[in-house]
Amino acid sequence: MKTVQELNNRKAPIIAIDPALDKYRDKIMFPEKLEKANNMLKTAKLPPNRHSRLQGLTTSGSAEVEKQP
Amino acid sequence: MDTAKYNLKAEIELTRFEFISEGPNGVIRKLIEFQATTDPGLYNLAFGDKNKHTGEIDDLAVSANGDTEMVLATVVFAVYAFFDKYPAAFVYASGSTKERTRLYRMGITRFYDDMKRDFYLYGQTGDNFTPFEMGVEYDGFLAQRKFD
Repeated sequence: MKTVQELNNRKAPIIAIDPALDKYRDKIMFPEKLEKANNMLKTAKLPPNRHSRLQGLTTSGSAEVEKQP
Repeated sequence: MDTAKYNLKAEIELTRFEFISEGPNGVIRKLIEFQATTDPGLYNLAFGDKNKHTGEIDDLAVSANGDTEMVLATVVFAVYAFFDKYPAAFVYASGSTKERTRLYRMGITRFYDDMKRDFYLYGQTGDNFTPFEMGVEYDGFLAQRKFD
């Protein structure tokens, strides 16, 4: 359990999880932008991944969330 | 980062966020989406207004609600929240128009001290990504979280 001090010092906000937004989870809201980004990636020279050993990992529940009723 | 921000809501995977902008043009729902791209671990940040009548998203809308700084601060905070859950990710952002891309640059510049401390920042020119410099026009931006 995080202390109030730790919560106040966080950079990431405390996010309210809203089940009503679940309807967007499998939907691409901005398909043209995704297409543009994917086209860019075909020829882009990306910088090196500084966290390649962490690739694929997510932190489980590290963002403080509170569920909407 | 002391700038006022709007309250953020998100779905459980923290790839879609919503907040409400309030100003002279009324209440406007804004959506932020972190889109998985063809490059594993690289997400595209997309952002726009939700049309209250149709429910459709308009990423070209200029809502001009007089709260640009609060909107930018809110988007930046969504980026922090996203990276909290996906620490190894890259996030790419480019506007639908040159003006929107400039808006993203404004956001980075406005919060540069915090962002430079917490992220590896890159500006895109054509196919190339170079360390972000203030005052330079870019086609897009790329960020990765720093962990020291």
